[in-house]
Amino acid sequence: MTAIALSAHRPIGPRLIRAEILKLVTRRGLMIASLVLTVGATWATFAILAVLHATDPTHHKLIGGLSHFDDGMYSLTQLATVAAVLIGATVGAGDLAGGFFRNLVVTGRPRWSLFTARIPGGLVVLLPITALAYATMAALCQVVPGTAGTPSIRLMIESGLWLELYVSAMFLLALGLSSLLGSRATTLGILAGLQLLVTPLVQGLHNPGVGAEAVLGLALWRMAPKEILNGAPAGHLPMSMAAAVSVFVIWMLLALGLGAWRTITRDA
Amino acid sequence: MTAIASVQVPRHLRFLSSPWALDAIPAALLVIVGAFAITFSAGGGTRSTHLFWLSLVLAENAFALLLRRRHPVAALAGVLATYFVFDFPPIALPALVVAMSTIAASGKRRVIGRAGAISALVVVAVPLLHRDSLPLHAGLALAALGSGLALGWILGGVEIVPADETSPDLRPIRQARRGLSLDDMADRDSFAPLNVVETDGLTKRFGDTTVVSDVDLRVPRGTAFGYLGPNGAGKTTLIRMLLGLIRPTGGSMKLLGLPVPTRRRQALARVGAIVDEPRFHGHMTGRQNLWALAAAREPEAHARIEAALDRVGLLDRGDDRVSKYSMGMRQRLGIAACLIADPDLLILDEPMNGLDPAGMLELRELMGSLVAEGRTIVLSSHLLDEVEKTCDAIAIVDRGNVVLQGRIADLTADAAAVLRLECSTPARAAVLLRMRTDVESVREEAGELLVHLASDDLRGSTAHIAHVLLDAGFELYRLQLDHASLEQRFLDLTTRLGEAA
Repeated sequence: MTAIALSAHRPIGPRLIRAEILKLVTRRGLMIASLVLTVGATWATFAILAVLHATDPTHHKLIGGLSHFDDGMYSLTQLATVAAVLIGATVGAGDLAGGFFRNLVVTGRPRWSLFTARIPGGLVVLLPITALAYATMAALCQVVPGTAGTPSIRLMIESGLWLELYVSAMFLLALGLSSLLGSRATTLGILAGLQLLVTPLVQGLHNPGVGAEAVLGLALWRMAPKEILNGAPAGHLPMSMAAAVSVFVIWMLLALGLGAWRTITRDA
Repeated sequence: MTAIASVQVPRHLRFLSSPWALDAIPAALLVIVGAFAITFSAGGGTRSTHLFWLSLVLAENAFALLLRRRHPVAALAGVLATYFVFDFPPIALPALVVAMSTIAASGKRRVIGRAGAISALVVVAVPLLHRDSLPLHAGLALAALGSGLALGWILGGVEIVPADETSPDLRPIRQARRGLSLDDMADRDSFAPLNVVETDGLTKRFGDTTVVSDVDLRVPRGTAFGYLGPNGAGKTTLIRMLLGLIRPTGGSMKLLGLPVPTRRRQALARVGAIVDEPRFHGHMTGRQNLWALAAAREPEAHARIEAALDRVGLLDRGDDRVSKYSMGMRQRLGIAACLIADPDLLILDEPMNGLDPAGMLELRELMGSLVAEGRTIVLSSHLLDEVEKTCDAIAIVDRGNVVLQGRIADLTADAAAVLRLECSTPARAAVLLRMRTDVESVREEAGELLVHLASDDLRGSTAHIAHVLLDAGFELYRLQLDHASLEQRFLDLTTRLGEAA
């Protein structure tokens, strides 16, 4: 050996990531719930709107096109977030709940690498599901006519990337929190409260104040393409992009840092 | 701080961690980077000056991180100077990351706390004083602080290990042992003595309760070793410490000759273990569970899955969900999970729990075959009978203390033997026998006499007692010499300790 080598601190092996994927995809209930929340909900929304439009065209506008795209993006974001939190909480706390974490620790594999493998492992499952749901919605908005034309290619690409960013952030938050708490149920409760109560509440405030900038959901909405912001009930806070990025980075570092810390120090 | 990784340093580069190098090399770096920066900033531009400071702090701290010896306060001072002198947070932020990581890597909580508090004050105060955008600067600074601390904490766990100190290769020894009988293996003189488990003064406290107390344990290689004790004696806690699942309060330990936790990864690479009951993902099949575990081991582990399933008799049930497995099947899957490591040492915590007699027999035979291959088994149990049947050496633990350890044959050999005797008028016979020097005590129990012998020649004493009683006119109905079983020895010890307490 002629140089210092990090031989014992191997990079995360793809096998460990594949193991995380295996643990997720074999959970039929989780996979079905995630698909229903994303792809299923997209189809269901279109189906309901189509029926409404067919029965009462004067009160219910045409279902596709740009006019539906922003509404659809908001709905999909909310539902895909639930799927992301479900997957994130499962990846973070699944091994602990099943008592499997102990088996992994006694292999001698550094706990740090056990934790970090969860990140790509979960994203590999989550992102294609979200992408499939988004592609479905975007295709329907292109194919089915609306009142305000169809979304541009640029908008669709930007919106798709933003959606993936949003669900990735929520996944990482759930992963970090569940790794910290060691409980899937508690994580789901906390994040459901954050996403379904705190974020809309702050979003709806007339004068939310500086503290509102710290809400992750709002910071993420600030990064969304402006064409889809009409779909969000209260638009977005007038924070700078730099502030939004900072809030995003801090949340991610905090969640993953605490999750990693607890994974490494936890009595197994 | 627990080591979470090891950095192997070749022998000829060991000087890097010597005290003089720790002083000299950073100084040399300062000179080199400084000279470069001065040349670069000859025009006096602000950017180049910043670059100089950044390079300086980065280089210095990167080296310090690698060696884990840099004084953390010095690292922080460099960053604070950058802040105060240049008032340029964007440049200072990366420096802050590395400085904080150095501080965190020191592992000293007090230093981390002070440095964190000072840094937080500075990174918030400077933008405020200069009326910059507070949320942005404070956010970035806090992010830098957090990531720095996280990075440092991770790197703080890196252990610098000379490259030639690799895991001892036990394979030739094991290969040599394969095919040998247990009697052959008992002849330890033919192999270099090596204890696969060694603990010195190992202690674990939970609050005021001492669960494992000052345990010195030696498990010889190639044996089935029973760790025997009543419920709550601290057996599982000791195993969890050995495997790095919890941290000991005091003492040291070695697995396969490697210190744990510093060389934990190398040691555990050849260890298979079941702690408490084997637990798996119920929604996955047995085969999938093993695959997920093999992913955490070396690549060859995947190739051992089928053989492991076959060996524990689960080859046909490998594709069933574990939630459908019986307790016995889970125990066997647990053994299979151990076998995919091709272990030199198996640590099995109460493996007989939940097994029916046939399952116990199967497991006993399996353990016997594993020991015959030269592997060592540490079997924790409170089932005396099973340990006596399975193991050739034991340690008896009571209330966290190892009260006795050694080979079972040796431990029971020096125990007093009992002569069970039935005769006419036992009370009179007892008086006669108590006068003998080779009799330690005589007790009447349910119409028979229990005579504790204190003689090296037990058979001779027995014959002599029979003659004496017959000559004295007693009618002798039964005479039976019992050697003390492990159970008697165990109960003697734990009862005595209980009474003393």
